[in-house]
Amino acid sequence: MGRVTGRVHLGPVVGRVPPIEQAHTEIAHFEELPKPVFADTSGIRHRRLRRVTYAVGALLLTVLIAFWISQLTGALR
Amino acid sequence: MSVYEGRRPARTQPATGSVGRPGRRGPHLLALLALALLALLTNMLLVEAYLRNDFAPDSEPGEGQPADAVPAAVTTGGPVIDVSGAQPHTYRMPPRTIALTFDDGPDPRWTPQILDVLHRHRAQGTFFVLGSLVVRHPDIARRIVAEGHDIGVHTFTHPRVSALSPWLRGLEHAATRGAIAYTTGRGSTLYRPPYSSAVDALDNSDMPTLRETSRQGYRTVLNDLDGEDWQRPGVEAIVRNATPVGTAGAIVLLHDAGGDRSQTVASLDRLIPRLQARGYRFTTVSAALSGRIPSANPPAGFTQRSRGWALVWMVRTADFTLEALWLLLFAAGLLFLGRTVLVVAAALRHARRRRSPGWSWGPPVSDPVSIVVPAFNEATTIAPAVRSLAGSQHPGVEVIVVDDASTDGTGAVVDSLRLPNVRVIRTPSGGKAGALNTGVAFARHDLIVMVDADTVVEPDAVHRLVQPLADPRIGAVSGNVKVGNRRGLLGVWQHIEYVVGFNLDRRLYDTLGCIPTIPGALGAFRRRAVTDAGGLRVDTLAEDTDLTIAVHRAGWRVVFEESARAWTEAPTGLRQLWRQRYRWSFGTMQALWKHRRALVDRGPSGRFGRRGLLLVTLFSVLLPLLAPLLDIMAVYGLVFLDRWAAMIGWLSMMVIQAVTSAVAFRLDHEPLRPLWSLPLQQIFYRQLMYLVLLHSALTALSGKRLRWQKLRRTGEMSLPSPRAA
Repeated sequence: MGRVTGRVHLGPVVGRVPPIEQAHTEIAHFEELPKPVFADTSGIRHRRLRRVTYAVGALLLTVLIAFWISQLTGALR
Repeated sequence: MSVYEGRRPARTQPATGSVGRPGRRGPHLLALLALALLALLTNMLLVEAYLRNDFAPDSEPGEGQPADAVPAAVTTGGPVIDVSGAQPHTYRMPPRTIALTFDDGPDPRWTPQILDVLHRHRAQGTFFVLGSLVVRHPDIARRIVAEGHDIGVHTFTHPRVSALSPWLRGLEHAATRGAIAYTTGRGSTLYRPPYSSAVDALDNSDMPTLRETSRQGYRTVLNDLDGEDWQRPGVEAIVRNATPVGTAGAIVLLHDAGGDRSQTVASLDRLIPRLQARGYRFTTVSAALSGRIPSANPPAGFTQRSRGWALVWMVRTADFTLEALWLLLFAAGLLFLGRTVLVVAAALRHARRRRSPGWSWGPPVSDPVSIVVPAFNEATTIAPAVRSLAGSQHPGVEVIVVDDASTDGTGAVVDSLRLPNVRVIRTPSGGKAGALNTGVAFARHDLIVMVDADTVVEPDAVHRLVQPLADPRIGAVSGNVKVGNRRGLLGVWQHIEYVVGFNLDRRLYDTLGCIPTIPGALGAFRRRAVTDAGGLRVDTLAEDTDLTIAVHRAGWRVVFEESARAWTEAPTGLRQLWRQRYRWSFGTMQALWKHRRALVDRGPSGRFGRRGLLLVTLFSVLLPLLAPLLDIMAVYGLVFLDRWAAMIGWLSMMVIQAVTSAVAFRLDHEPLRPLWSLPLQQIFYRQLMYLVLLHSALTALSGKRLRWQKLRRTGEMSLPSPRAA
């Protein structure tokens, strides 16, 4: 045994603790990392939401503009 | 508080633990949605403001105007006027004919009573209605027409029309005509301007309106006799005012709205039978002048009806929007007040209890501690952080710096410190959660403290932090994190935020046993609690919140130790702050969603779910989403409603916040000076947090993958002198 980082006294017995650098470690390999919460890797949800948002936003703005045009044309007639 | 980054992982790894940067399309979506919502909201608020007549100019009748432009034929003619042709035409009521006219309705209380009286005496009348009230009381407008009375235009909001620009005047008239057309199916050809009286009172300022309305096909109806019922002079006085001399016919002005009209109703019950006994008939303006002026209410055309349809629905939507906004504001106010009372009461009690001489967590804890510091490119900040940790006044401290594939020599900086109780572990890039897991795995001891690489601790912080672990039921402890760089407005604002957050909110959560987050900047864990929680997970951006909730759900208690202080570097720029808050709020949403089952669980998990998750959702998601309403409605009230009420309401809220913050500062023994910027801080934070939450919610909904970003570090921290205590 090489370098010693500590000693443990257990009655008459003297134990030797190897430094942590020499401990048996191994890298754990995960087959599959958990999917991030809310993530949709296919991108389908994002595309749908984008389309719906554009459609709803455009519709709302169109309705708003149409309303004011209808009222103002009546006013300026 | 550090926001940890790692390198962008390979495409196949959906790892998180990084700051998400909005994708290319993200801001477009958010901008479009925000623009559409803002346009709608502004439109609704303006429509509502207009309906309340708040745009109308001064409504006091003008005096002393010249009248030389008014044709003599008009000033000496009858009260029904048509100036559309080359020569003005005026019309008078035939003898023994009374046209009762009622202005300012329809009113849900008085108009039906007046209609009943007219019906009882088989009399007809002419109602000059306000478009805004027709929209709100369409049934009464329909009843007026159904019972054979005339209905005419009295503008939409009762402004003094001569003071309006022509287009706005046109809008007032067209909108009212549209409202009548959609509601009753009839057009309208009779018009009475607000604040009008007899023809001899016409002056030059009235002529443009007379000409425009005549060109638009209206006959302007003024009056011969004014009942002056708006002054409520008594029933007999109204009857006297409305009674013509001899057998002359007359158009009589009365009102069916705008105040208490009981005298008007009672006077009709006397006037009509008295004049009927003298041979008078009570009819409508158009019936009295039948054959000389067009029908008052011909069937409405498609254009008028559809314009009216659009208007009615816009007003209804605006009404609904404003009601909803008031309701939400009320909810936000309740939530705000409830939270304030709860937080202050709980914090004061918490502080009193913890600071009482008899308080103890149990026997002193002097077990060795492993401190894990995850780091990615933190060369500018890590040296003071590690030095402060290594020098902690606690027996047996080891510091494990996990260098997560830094490219700026972070590991080398730590090595160069040559501190005997510090180790550097270099790992492949794996994110903050991975680095922490690695650190925990390499930790020698069972008490583990996790500290961010940009955080400097006070010498006794670690020792104080682990003292609560004397209680075997406690699995994790949150420290008291303070902002180290308080220069500039952003620094001061974050300092205020941290002091309030740690000294009020955290104490409340601690009192209720549901601290939702042990900050990554300073937290202690029992190894067993981390293991029971399943370690740090990579599926949320807020790994600290995720771990804390998991520790709760595993049955461990989580507490706050206020005396364990650490100083962290807060973001110095707006962009950095936005990214940090975006990560926090998105991560919190992820953690709440991930642990949603805790709401229905039994045992400790359920207890935490029904308290902690609910409170976090209410105070960290719902309240920030509603909070900007306080400012929006204050501005709206200031401009369009009761200025004083709006100002007092908004200022009271500010005072409450100032007092609350002062309590937090006092609890933390901080000088109150930074609180001068509290009003600005509150306004700024409300809008910031609202946008951040909206963005986070959109990201969550769209399921977008987040890109990796590096926050800039300055390494500028000025720590105050050690505590006197």
